Amino acid sequence: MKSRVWLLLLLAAVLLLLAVGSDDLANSLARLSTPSVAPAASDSSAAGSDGRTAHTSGNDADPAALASSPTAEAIEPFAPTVAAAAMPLLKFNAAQARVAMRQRWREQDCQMARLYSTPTFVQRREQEWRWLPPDLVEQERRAVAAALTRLTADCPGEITDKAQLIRRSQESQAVLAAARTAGDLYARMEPARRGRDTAELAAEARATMYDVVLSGDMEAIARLGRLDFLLQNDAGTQSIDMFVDGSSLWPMVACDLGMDCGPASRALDQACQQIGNGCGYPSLEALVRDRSPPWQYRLTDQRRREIVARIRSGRIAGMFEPAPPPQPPSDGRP
Amino acid sequence: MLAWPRQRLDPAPQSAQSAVTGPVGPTSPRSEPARAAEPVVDGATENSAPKPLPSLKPHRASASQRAADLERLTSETDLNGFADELRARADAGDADAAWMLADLLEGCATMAEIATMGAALTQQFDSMRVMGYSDQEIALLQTSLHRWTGRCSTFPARSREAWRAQISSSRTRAAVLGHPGAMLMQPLPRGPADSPAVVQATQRARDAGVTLLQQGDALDLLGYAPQLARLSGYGTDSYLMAACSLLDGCLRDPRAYALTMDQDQFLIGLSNSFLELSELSPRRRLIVEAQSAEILRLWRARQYEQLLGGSGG
Repeated sequence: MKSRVWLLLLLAAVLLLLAVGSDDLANSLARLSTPSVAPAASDSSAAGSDGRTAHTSGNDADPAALASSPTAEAIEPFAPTVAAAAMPLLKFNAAQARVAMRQRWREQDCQMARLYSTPTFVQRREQEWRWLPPDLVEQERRAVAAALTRLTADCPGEITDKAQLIRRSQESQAVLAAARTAGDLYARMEPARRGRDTAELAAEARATMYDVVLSGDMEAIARLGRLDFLLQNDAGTQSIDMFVDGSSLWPMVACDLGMDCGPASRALDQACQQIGNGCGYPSLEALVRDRSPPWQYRLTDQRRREIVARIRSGRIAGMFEPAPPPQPPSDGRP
Repeated sequence: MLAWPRQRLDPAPQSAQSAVTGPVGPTSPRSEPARAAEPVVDGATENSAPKPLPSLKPHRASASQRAADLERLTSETDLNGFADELRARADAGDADAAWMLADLLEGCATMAEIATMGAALTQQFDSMRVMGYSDQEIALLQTSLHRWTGRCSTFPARSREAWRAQISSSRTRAAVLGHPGAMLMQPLPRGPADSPAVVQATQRARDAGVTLLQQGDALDLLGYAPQLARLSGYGTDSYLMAACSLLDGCLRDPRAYALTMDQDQFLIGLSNSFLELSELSPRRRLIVEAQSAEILRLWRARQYEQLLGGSGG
């Protein structure tokens, strides 16, 4: 239960971050959204009728090339607000959508790294350190600094101007909408939620989760927690997944499937930045074990092993259907 | 995680106690208790909240009276009758009677709520099993629940809103009468932390906390852990561990201690909090143990101002 609260806070933070962005990306998007550019070559067929194969292309596209070779076209204003009316709709082909979504994720990661290095969060971390053994604190201090350096190494500059922030937020939404329209798998991982029936949303989330697992894309698999959360919300009944650490489950699954989660890895760096987590661990698993109540780690680890076993053996069908009710552990206490 | 709320750990819902959103009571609990004519600040408005009659003298119950009340709370079979006695004493200005009445009412309101849960309650117990609670431990909780539900059955049925109004009224009265726990639990007014209203309310809460801690009761570290944590910067779980450290047999196995203690004090929900201590992560445990040690050092040295002075943060 605690992890759900934590996940909600994380989601709120991510949503907040979507309202801000970078100069470079804003410039790129400004070029993308220039009304005078030529229409995009339509390759929406690549996404298939259900959009489930969109992830197969575009992974290697060069963001700089994309930004400098305009291929988007202006269509209609995408939102009925005055501010949004000035923003033309984007149109992406599959490759462009993927590049834009990678930029979006990168931007989110940069903003998250910035957030955790703001005085409020730094102060909270310092407060924790006050109560930990000095040698551990020293190790964590070094690890946090190193992780932050790595995470922000290629981040664009921060936007502080309010008007620019608003515009950036609109651009970000426009990019997401265009990527969704293009059927991009990453974009489908951020389904539009406003005004939608939860059952419909859950069905869509479930389909996307299958496609993500089938894609074998470790970064996407590591981010499945958001969609998993949508499924839990829709389930209505209690399942074992309500008790696992949802923010850690899918990153750990991705680790098991081959994503680098060792020292200096992106996964470990990102986790170490989060308040309440320690830093300087040999693996993401060690970090999660140290920050979780023992009973919760046991459940999370159990679920993770089940998922990995199913993926490895190809028994994916039914994997994201409603889970059975929770069963008490056979050995009583954790 | 538990099916029932932990009494005294959370303020009553805002909507149910608008009268106490602003400070009610003396500037310092060590001075004279609040009087009805005392002005309220920062949005707190006059309403139907109970005020001590001009003729009554707000007072605290003696330590022996408080102990006797606690004993009756755990053994009295006619809790409704006991509530009437407490109400009469509260009407005569006894702050502790008003406070205990609120606890009693809140406990029985919770029991009434639980009685309507049906399958949801079963699900809650199943959840606890998933979290590693044994059948034996669950059975202990169910026994407590059954026992207390029976003891509360002497109260006539009433709506949730009616329960809430009575609880709120009694808590407000306790605050007006100068009960330090009631004053400590008053929600802070909304606004920037450095606004005069918030600063004043925080200082009043801190003074109330000091008065409370001066009673030297380890259970106060437990019962008011969230409020003390809010003032000091130490974690709520650190106060819980400090209290647990002071109770013989608790630290060895907080969960077993809590479940046993619940047999007697389930209604006021204090011991449930100890269950949290068995759910700490390894990293959090390191922090909690260190903070708890400092809380205990200051508490034993009677350095309450320092304890609530924000040094923990």
